[in-house]
Amino acid sequence: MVTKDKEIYGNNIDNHIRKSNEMLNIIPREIRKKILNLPRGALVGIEEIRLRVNKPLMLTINNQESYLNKSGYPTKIVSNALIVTETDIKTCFRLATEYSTYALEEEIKNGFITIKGGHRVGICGKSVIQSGEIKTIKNISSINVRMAKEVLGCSSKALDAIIVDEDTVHNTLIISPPQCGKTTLLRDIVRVLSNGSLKHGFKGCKISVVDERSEIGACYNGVPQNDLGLRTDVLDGCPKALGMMTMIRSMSPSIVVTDEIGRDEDKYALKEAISAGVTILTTVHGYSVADIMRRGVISELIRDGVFSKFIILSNKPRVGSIREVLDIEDVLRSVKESSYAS
Amino acid sequence: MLVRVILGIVIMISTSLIGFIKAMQYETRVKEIDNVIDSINVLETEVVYYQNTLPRALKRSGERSKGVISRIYEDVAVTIDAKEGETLESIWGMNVNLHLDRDVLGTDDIEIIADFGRELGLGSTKEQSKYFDYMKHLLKQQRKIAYDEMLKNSGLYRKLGVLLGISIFVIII
Repeated sequence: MVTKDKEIYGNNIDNHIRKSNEMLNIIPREIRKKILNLPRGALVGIEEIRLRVNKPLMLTINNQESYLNKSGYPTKIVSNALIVTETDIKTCFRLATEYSTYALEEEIKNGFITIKGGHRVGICGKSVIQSGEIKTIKNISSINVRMAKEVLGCSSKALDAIIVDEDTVHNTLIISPPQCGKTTLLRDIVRVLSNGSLKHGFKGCKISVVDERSEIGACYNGVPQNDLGLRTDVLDGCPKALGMMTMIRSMSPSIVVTDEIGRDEDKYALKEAISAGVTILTTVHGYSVADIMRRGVISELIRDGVFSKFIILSNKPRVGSIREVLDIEDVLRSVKESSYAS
Repeated sequence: MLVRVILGIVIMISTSLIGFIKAMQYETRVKEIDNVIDSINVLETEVVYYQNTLPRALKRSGERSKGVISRIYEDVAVTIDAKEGETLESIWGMNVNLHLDRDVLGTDDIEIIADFGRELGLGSTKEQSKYFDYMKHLLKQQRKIAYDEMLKNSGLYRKLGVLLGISIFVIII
């Protein structure tokens, strides 16, 4: 079995098992025991565990949804499935928060908690609104535990495009629809640029990551759970605009990395960073350049020439595929053409 | 005669000791309540200001606190880390029952300390801060009662033990 697993997961099988165990630590004991009895291939293939009050426990194993039956085997038959109780949800929430909701107020407001190992626990229930904002979420009714994924080496093609010489990188914007692996790609780019790469002729540089939603580093108690390289500093849970300026002042980075820009204040911070001589690597939700040019903030940044490279991702043929790499000239030309056409 | 004298002295020492021990219980009660209040102050700093998670906050507070409460903090932190998923109320209650000496602390003191686990860690930082203040308020009230009882009874038991011993000694001789 181990040999077969190794064929599927390569030499990372021990890492997969360790990661599965970390994720299962927040699952109520009785359910945890059943999941741990799953065949090894299924155990290491767990990507997601979903608990909903009075609904069947749902697992996503190797991209396939299945229920867990009362004996602890994966099943497709709902009537045999193990039903999640309110107590299970409460226990899971307690374990995920380490009995410390006060310490995770912001995370709970945002609807997810990062646990040890970088795994993400999404929560859903009754939201308490104050002054038009979510103050907290109470009466938790659904919990979704997602396995943290690191795809080491996935950035090789992107690095070919963004590295200029041994110590220079293009100001780059990664454009991607949701669930196409932009954060995974960004994380791997950070790791390689931080460590340096003989293959790409890059000697490694200081990188500051402003990780507003704890997605890039997946920090737990301030320590990044994902490998972001030797020369990377992470400011966790800080708004991007504020964090970028703080990092430039405090850590003197060569590159500043953030995820999912789009607010007005991001625009000013990015421009400040560029004028401070720092390179920017960031991402934005979108399907194409034309799509993101419809948004005021991004459009202005592009027209002002803040970015010089654009990487467009797609989930075809598979998640994380690079559909296109564009230079600023290509982008401005296409914008001009489309404005003429319209 | 010599046997009587020796017996009398032994009784006198014993009754005096009993009186001193009883008096000391009143003083220990005040000290233990003080320790609990101090430890709550330390825990409040860990929770409200450092925003440490509860296992870490309890462990650090346990290391910096005195008395039985430090053992409760440390054991609760270990139990939470074991990830069995029990409620904090039950983990806390179990450890309070295990460690607190019912001969030293009064029933009301123990009830207040046992109740502390009910809301600990829940809600926002502001709510936790209010909760710590409320617990300290209750414990300060108990401390005042314990202190008054100590003033009233501590000396009394000491004198009573010694005088009872002397009386028995005189009767025996």
